[in-house]
Amino acid sequence: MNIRLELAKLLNLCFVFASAYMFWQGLSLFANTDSPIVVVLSGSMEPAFQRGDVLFLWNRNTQNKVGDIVVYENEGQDIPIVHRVLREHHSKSESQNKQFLLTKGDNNAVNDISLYKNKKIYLSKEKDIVGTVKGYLPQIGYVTIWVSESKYAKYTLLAFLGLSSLLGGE
Amino acid sequence: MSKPVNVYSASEVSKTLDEALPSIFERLNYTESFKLTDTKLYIGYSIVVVSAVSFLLDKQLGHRNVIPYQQGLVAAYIILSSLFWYFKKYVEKSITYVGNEKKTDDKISICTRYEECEPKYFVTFVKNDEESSKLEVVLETTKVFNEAGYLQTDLLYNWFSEQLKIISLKKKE
Repeated sequence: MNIRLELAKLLNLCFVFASAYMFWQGLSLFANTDSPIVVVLSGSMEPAFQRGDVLFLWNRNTQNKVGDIVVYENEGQDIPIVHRVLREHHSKSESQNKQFLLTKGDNNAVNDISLYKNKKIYLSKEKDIVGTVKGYLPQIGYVTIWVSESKYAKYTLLAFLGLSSLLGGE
Repeated sequence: MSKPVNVYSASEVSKTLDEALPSIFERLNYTESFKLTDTKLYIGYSIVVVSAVSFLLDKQLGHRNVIPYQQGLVAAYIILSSLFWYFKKYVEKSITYVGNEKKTDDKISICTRYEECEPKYFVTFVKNDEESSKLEVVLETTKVFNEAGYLQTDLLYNWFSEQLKIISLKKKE
């Protein structure tokens, strides 16, 4: 066995993961958010966004306007929620630059207070907001929902990836 | 004997010949030098380490707490990747074999390439990094593979030893 050849092959495999991850990390730093791309998981923003739409986020703005669509995460939960800003309060002095937001899904009957954790009645722009939606691609992310919700789809995808790596010699 | 290859695939033929070079030159009294491969592996694996550290930091401590470190790591990743690309394109080029003669310590570098749909193996020899000793030759691959697709190592060995003689004659001129 040629150890250098094997190491070079392993390196190519590592590069696939490393480059994908570092691209993501670079994008995160650029947009100043921990997840610059999210997939819409629920229908609460229909008809603006459908399940499976891919959203691009930006978090370098210091304040949001009423009407902005933002993504937030509740403390301790990793599920991003995409909703619209319904009401906002911000500090008078610009030095403090604090902002509190109340959100609501376009397709929901009531605002999000019942969704917020720890009996909060607002979100902090600084702490809770993951980013503001700046662009989207329709439906492309549906495959991730499909894979996470159906185990058959997961195995089909894994089998497909395995087969293609076995058969695609070069 | 090695496995048979599909002689109609120029890439497969060329790959088999590339892989045969070390054993051929071993028989011609050369020791392979791994300097280029090792440097490439070092740069490559340092890129992987940088990415792994970035991934672990993010997972363990959370993105918001490690932003300055991540900036450094992404910068390091970009620099190392450019270095890797530069090394592959301008330093390693298409060099497939570097070896030293056991007695005289003469260095030989061999670049190989192929063209699609051509039964030819283009070989460039450079002795002791001297431009004057450069020899470009084409090997008809049909001459070293038999009908079943087996590489005839002895024929290849003879061909290479002839080329080495030509180079040494060229140098004397």
